[in-house]
Amino acid sequence: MSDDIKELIRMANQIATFFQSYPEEEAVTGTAEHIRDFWTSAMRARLGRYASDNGNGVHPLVMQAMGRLQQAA
Amino acid sequence: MSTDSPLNIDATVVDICRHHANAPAALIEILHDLQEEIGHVPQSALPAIATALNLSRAEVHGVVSFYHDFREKPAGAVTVKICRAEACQSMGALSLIQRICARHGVELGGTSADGRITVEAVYCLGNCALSPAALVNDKPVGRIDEERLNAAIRGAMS
Amino acid sequence: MALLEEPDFGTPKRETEKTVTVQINGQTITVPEGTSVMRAASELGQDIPKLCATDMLNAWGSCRMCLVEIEGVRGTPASCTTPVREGMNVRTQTPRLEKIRRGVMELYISDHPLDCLTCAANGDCELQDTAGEVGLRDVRYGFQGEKHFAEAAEPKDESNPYFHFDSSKCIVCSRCVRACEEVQGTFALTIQGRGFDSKVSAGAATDDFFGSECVSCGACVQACPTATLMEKSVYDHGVPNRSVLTTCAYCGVGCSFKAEMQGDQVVRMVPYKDGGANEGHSCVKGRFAWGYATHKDRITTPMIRDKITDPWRKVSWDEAIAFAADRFKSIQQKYGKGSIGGITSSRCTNEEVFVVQKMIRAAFGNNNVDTCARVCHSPTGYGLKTTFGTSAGTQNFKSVEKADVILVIGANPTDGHPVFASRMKKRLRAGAKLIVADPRKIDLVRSPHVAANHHLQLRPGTNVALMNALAHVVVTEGLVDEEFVAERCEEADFTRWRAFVAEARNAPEALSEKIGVDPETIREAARLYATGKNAAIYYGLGVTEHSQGSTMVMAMANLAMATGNIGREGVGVNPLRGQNNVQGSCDMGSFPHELPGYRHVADTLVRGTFEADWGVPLSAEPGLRIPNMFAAALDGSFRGLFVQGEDIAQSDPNTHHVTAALESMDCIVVQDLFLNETAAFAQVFLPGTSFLEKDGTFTNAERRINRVRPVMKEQSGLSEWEVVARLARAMGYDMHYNAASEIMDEIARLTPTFSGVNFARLDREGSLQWPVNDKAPNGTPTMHVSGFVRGKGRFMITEYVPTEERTNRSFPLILTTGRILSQYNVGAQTRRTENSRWHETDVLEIHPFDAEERGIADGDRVSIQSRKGAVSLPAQISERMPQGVVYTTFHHPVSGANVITTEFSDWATNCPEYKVTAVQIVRSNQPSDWQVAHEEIRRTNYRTEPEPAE
Ligand code: SF4
Ligand code: SF4
Ligand code: SF4
Ligand code: FES
Ligand code: FES
Repeated sequence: MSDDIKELIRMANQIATFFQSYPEEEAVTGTAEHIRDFWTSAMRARLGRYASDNGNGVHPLVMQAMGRLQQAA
Repeated sequence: MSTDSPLNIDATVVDICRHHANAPAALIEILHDLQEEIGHVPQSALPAIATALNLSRAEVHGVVSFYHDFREKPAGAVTVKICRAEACQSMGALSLIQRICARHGVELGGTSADGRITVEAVYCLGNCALSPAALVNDKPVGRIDEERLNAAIRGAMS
Repeated sequence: MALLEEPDFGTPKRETEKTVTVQINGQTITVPEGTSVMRAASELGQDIPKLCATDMLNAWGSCRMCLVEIEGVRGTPASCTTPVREGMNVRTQTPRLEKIRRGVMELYISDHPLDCLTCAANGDCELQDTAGEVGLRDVRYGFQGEKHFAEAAEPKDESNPYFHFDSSKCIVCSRCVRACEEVQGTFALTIQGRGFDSKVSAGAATDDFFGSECVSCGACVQACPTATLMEKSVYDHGVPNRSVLTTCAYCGVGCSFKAEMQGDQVVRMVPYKDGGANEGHSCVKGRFAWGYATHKDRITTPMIRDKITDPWRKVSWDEAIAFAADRFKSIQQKYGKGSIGGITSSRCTNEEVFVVQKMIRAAFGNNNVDTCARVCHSPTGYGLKTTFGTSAGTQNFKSVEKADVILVIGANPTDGHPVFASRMKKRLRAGAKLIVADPRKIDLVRSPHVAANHHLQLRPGTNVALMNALAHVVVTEGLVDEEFVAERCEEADFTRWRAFVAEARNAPEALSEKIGVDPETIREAARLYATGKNAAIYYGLGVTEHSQGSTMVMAMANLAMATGNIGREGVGVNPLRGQNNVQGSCDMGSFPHELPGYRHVADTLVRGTFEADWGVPLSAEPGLRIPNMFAAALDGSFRGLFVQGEDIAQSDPNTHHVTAALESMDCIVVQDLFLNETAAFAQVFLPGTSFLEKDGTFTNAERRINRVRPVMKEQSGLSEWEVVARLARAMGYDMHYNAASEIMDEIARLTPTFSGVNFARLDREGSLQWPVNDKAPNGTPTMHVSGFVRGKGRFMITEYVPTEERTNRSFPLILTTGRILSQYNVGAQTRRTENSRWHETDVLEIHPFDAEERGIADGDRVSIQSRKGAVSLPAQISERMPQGVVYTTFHHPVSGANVITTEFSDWATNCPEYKVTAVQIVRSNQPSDWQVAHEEIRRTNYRTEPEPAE
C-alpha cells in the first residue's frame, strides 16, 4: 500500500469516526458530503478505486459513502 | 544570623504570609512580623512576599519604602534613636545627631561598617520635658549631650 | 496629514444613560452622570490646566493644577476628581484660580531642570505646555531644587531597548504607575519613598526597567507628561511632525496606531485612542518592534535562479515575472491545469489575498489555493459555521467588559494577544470570575491581581473530553437555559446532544482520569460557567491544533448555546486569532473549496456571479489543501507553487516531509520580505512590502475591518497586488487595478457580508465589523443577536476520540507548543528587532520532576526526540508545566520544532496537530542532525551572485 493511499484512508476514517455517532443514514450522508465538499476529484477517485478494489482498512461508513459518491458521479 | 540566607528568608516569608492568609491587605502586618522575626526587611524578601500575596514586586517595594520603620539591612548591635522634633531640636538635637554620627562613622539612618551601631532620627518620644531625648536599645535617656549619650551607648555595647 | 494630536479630556468617558446638565463659564453642557467637571469643560472646548490627569486613567487629584470655583461650594476643588452634579455652575478661570495655579506651577518648575530647548520632549511636553497656559513668568523659589544639580540626579535608566527613564525630569504625577496598573495591568511601577524623597521605581530597589516586571507595552511612556519616560527614537530623531493612521501587522488584535513621522522616517508608533480594538493601548510588538521594515536583510530586488543550488540572480521585475509565468505555463502544459497552485498569507492585506486567490482561480484555472490559516484556525471556520452559520467569532473585544465569567481555553492571551489580555484583566480585576483550561500554568492563572477561580490543568489532547464533562454537568444538573434552546436551536439536534452528553461515560467522574483533572473541580467550573450570568469563551490554538480541533470548536459552541451564552454583549465563543489577518484571509476565499465569503465553489449561482465579473469560467471542483499539495508534490502531480508571505518550510508540521515536497517541485515563487526558510527551495523571489508600505485593510479577530495605510513608498518599487496582477497578466489573464480601493470595491460587489465596505467609508468611520450590508448598515459588533446566521443553532455530537499520537515507553512525554510575548510567529520580523533581547533562543520547558529523573539541570542542552525526528534546545526547568508535559515555542528557525511534530491533523480541516507530540528528552551536548543539515542548506541555498563590479 503506498503512503499516499494510506494517508487518504486515514483521513477518510477520521471523518467517518466523527459521523459514526449519528444514525447510520445520516452518518453515511455526512461522510459522503464531507468528502465531496472538501476533497479534490483526484483524491476521491483514488480512494474510490481502492474502496471498490479491496477496501482493506477502510471504515465501513467510508465504504458506503464512496459507493454513494460513485453513484452520484 | 543564620536566618539570613535567602532560602531561610523565603521560608520565613512563606510562613508569615500564610499566617496572614496570604491576604494583600495584611501586607503591612506581614512586613512588621518579618522585621520582628529577622530584624529587618531585606530587598531579597520582596519577591517571595509578592508571590505569596499575588502582588507585583514594585507594589511591595512601594509600601516598604513608604514607611520609615522598615529597615533594609539588619540593625547594628546597638540602635540609637535620637529625637529631632521641635522641643529637642530647640535644645540642639540636630548638631548632636551630626556629632554622634561622625564619632561612630555612621550615616543617619544607617549602620556602621562594623555592624556595631545604628543611628536613626525619630519624631518626639513624648519625653520633651527631658529634651533632648533619645532611646538606646529602646531604653530612654534624657537631657543628653554628646558625652552622656556616648556613655549610654558604651554601656549598651558591653 | 499633519501631526494628529488627539484631544485629552482629562478623565475617562462614563458609560451610562443617565445625564446631568451643568453650566461652565456660562455655557451649558449635558454629559453622562459621573463625568468629571474637567471632562465636561474639555468637551465644551474649555480645557482646564492639568498635570496628573489624562483620559486613559482614573482621576488621581494630586497635582492641584486643575482647581475650579463652583457656586455654593467652599474652596477650590480639583476638577478632575469632582463629578458634575445637576445644575452646577462652574468657573474655570478667575484671578484667584490663576494665582493658585501659577503658584503650584512655580513649585514644580523650581525643582525641574530648565533645559527645555535641548530636551527630547521639547514641543511634546505637557509640563511645558501647562506652564505656558498658566502664564508662568517667574519662579520665586529660585531654581534650587535638587534635580537641578546633575550630581544629585540619578543616571538615566537606559536598560529598556526602546525607551529611557530620566528621573531628573520626573514630576511624580504617578501617571506612569497608574497606566501600568489600570491600562496594562502589570503593576511593574511604584512610587518609592514619600514626600520630597518620593520617586518612580520600576520593580524593587534592585531592579532597573529591563529587570523589573515591565513587559514594555509603552503605556507609561505614553502617559508621561514630561520627557522622563521617552521613546529613544524620539530622543535620537526629534519630535515627529506628521502622522498616518494605520493598523499593527503583528497579531489578530489589530491595534490602531498613529505612525508618527518625519518625512518618510517613522519616529514612533503611538496607539490610537479611537482604535476600536485597542482604545489607545498597545504591546511591545506593535509599539516598538517595527524596525524590521527597514532591516538590512530585506530583499528589495526581484531574484531568480534555475535550480535551488544556484546562487540567486538579481533581475528586473519584468524578467522575474516573465520567468515565473513561463515556468508555471510550461508546467501546466506538461502536467495539466491542476499541477500548480498557491498559498495566501494571513499577514497580507485583504486586497493582496483577494488578488492571489483570484489569480489562482482565474489565471491558473483551478482552486488550488489554501492559506496558512489552515495550520491555525481552520477548525474555527468549520466548527462555528456548522453550529452557528458563520466562520467567525461572535463578539467584539469590548464585550469582555460585560462578561461575568470568562473561560479561557488553550490560549495564552497575555503573550499571544496582549492588548486584549489587558482589557480582559481589567474586567477580572473588577470582579469577573475566571476559568482557565490549559496544561500549563499560564500567567492568567496567577499574576498580580488576577487569579483563576479554577485552573483545569488538562492533559494535552483531552479538550473534547473536558467539554463533554462540562456539558454533562450542565445537562444533568438542570443548568440548561431551556427557553433559549427552545426558541433558538434545532430541537432534534439538541435532544440528541442532550442524551449523548448525559450518558454516564461523559460524567466528570468517568473522564477525570483521562483528562487529569479532579471531577469536583470540573463540576464546579461547569456550574460557574452555567450560572454566572454572562459567560464568555475565549480560545486559541490550544483548541484548534488537535486531531479533534473542529470537534472541540463545536463542543464549545454547544456549551454556549445550552447555557444561553450567545447573542448579546458579554458572552459568546471567541477565537483569538494568531496572525493579524487570519480572519480576513479566510474571508477572502483562501480555501480550496470556498469562494470569498465562505461559499462553496460547487454553488453554481455564486460561481456564476464571479464568472460574470471576472470574465472567465471557474472550476467547480475543490482544489488541494496544503498537506494535499505536499502529497501531490511527492507523487509528481503538483509541481508549481506561489507562496505569498508565508514560511511553510518553517511553520508547517513534519519538516522532513515538507522539505522533500518542496525540493521535488519545478517552480516555487516566494513573495516575502526576507529570504525565509521556504526561499531556500524557491526559483523566484519577489520582494514584498512591509505593513508600513501597504495600502489596504486587515480584518481582526472581532471581524473588524481596519485600514492599513502606507507611510513610505514600496521599498521594492511595486505593491504586492500589482505584482500579482502582472503575474496574472503574464499568465494570460487580464487583471488590472489602479488602486487598492478598486480591489475592495470588487470584494464588496461579490461578497454579500462586505457589500457596505469601501475605503472612503472606512476612512470616514475608522473601522467596520462585518457583516456590513443592507441588513446591518453599520456593521455587526455582536453576532446572532436575534437569530443564528444559519437560522437555528445546531448542536453537534462531539464524541471524544483520543489522538493516534500516543505516549509509550520510548516516547513517554507529551510536547506541546506555544508562543511568547516579544516574538511573533516564525519570528521573521521580531527576530530582526531588539525584541530578541527578551527571548534569545527557544527553550524547552520541563517539570522539575521530569528533569530530575533525566539528570537535566536548568540550562542544559537536551535532545527532543519524537517518532519523526530530533532537535536540540536548552532546557528550562519550570513549575508551570505539569509532570509529563514539556513545552516549547517556535520562534527561531534553528530550533526546528516542526522537525519533530507529526503528520496527524484535524479530521475536518487537516489543521495539523501541533499541540500533541509524544517525545523523549535526553541530555545532549550537540545540535541534532537536522540542525546541522539545516545550517548547511542555509549556507548553500541563500547565496546571491556577487554584484558586478562598477
Ligand atoms: S512599559 Fe508597560 S509594562 Fe512596562 S512599566 Fe510601562 S506600562 Fe508597565
Ligand atoms: S515618570 Fe512621567 S508619568 Fe511617571 S511620575 Fe514621572 S513625570 Fe509622571
Ligand atoms: S496586541 Fe497585537 S495588534 Fe496590538 S500592538 Fe500588540 S501585536 Fe500589534
Ligand atoms: S520633641 Fe523630642 S521628645 Fe518630644
Ligand atoms: S489634574 Fe486634577 S489634580 Fe492633577
